[in-house]
Amino acid sequence: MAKQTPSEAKMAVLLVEALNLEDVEAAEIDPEAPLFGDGLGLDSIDALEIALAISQEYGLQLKAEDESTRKAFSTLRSLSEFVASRAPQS
Amino acid sequence: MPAAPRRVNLGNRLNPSASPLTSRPFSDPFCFILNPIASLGLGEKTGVVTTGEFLSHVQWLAARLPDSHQVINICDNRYLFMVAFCAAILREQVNLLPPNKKAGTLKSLLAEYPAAYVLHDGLCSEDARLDSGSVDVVQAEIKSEAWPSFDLSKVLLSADRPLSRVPEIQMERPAAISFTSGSTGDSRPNVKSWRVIVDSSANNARHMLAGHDHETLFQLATVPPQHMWGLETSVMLPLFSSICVADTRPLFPLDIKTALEQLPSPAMLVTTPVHLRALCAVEMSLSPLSLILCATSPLTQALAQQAEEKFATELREIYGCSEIGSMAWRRTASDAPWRLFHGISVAVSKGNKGNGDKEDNEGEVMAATEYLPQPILLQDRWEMLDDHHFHLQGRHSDMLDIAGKRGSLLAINKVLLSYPGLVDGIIFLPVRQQHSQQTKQPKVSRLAGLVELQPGFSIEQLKTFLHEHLDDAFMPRPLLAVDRLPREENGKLSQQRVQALYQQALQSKL
Repeated sequence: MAKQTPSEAKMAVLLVEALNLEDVEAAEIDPEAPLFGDGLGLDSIDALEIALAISQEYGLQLKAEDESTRKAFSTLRSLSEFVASRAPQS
Repeated sequence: MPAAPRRVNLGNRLNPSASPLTSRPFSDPFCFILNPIASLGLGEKTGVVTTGEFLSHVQWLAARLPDSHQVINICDNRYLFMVAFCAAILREQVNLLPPNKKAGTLKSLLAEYPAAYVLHDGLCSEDARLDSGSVDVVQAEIKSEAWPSFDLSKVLLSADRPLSRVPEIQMERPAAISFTSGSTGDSRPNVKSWRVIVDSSANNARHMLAGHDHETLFQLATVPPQHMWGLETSVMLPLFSSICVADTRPLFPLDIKTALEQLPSPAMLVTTPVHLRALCAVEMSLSPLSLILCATSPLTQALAQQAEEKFATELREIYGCSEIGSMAWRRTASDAPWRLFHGISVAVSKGNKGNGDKEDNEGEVMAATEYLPQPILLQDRWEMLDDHHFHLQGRHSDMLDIAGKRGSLLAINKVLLSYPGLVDGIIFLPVRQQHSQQTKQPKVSRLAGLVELQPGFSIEQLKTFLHEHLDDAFMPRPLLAVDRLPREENGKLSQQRVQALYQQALQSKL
């Protein structure tokens, strides 16, 4: 597993809390593993929940229509980088 | 936009054996295109498609569909779904509407209806936006020509040949079959004849749209057209009421806000408590609406009040079942009791306490309507207040309702038990109540699973298997391996012992 950066570690905690992933330790999420499908097995209800948590924590509203958002949701790393590049403050 | 008079008198009473495909005037705004659809031949054009143009598209496509008696309609764009839905009906093909677009679901549907083909619009469905894995499997099957299919995104719909009159459809002809998990554990087909579609739409319009009879409402829906709630509101209502429906299905609050800003007013929103909760939690100003319709899972009064305030409108919560469709409504922000739709009759059991060892059936409901061949036993128990008002008393324990997806725990466990590497296992709803920190609303509850696997099989492999067969909402999370399930001598698993083992397994995993 690749090592989490500090901002990825923060995002991992947000994911675990927002989604109540009871059997997942935030520090154990591989930043390069897929979040949806076979990875963490998240779905569109989770995506809504994550979008909500990100808007509260980083003041950033996500748009599913954007290709960049779709790419952002592929891994912890891409999500964290996406938020860092877009958020008003982080 | 000129207001068109609503036509609620449905069905051709002079010729009751058939009725027109739509009752909308040709010049009426029928659909509002927000996403340019290349296949529409409109290029980058967005905006209104009239009923006349819609009918031309339907006729054009009907002439080009492959020969078959059934079509699995998984089009994601709502306009293309509607064109496909009506073209299939015109060609006397039944629309099969699967509960999800998973490869496993489609595979078993094709096994059951071997002559059917898959009608899609490019397979970049909005669920797939975030879960490309499952779509890749479907795409691979279609590309390898293992599954017969028709790709609507590859054709150019033409409206060059206008119709002079609206085609008539035989009333008793099956138009669609929707599939839901029944309490017996098997996927149960609900056949909708053209009569059911016409009559139930008239009845739905009478209740859902009451007070909006003299205007065209521009509708945005966050639900897919294949599911009963989306089918009734975003496909069937526009065929017979003055509704101009948007073609997209936005997910995130910002997508919904943007879509609403692009729609003319007066606008209405068709949604679920899950989407509504996210919409109300974000701090952004949203355009006012004329009406919100919400269904599929219980809505709290607090959320209903928040939504009414945020959109300066009335929210009607709708109650229904898969066999009958919508059958009652209430204004959740202010009313507690449900109001039964006219035209639906019910008989509620008074109970058989002390009658042998049968389960007490107090509150069980048999419901009937003119357009269904026989009465239906509902999955909920009711308490009648008078002939037209009732309270819900809860659901049979087998039935699940997760984020608006209805399913049977028995059916989900059947899928688990069919896994070749399984020794024993159970999927259940853990006892927990979580509230979101952000919204103070209860979170969506998820199932959990405890399994004993044969050597050589892993939890990951089992997850992949389940992922192919179960709707995402029903995936057990967490899915934990245990040494043995605490079965009693008679083979039963008590709820208490399962919950205890679950807590234990969770502790040892962390």
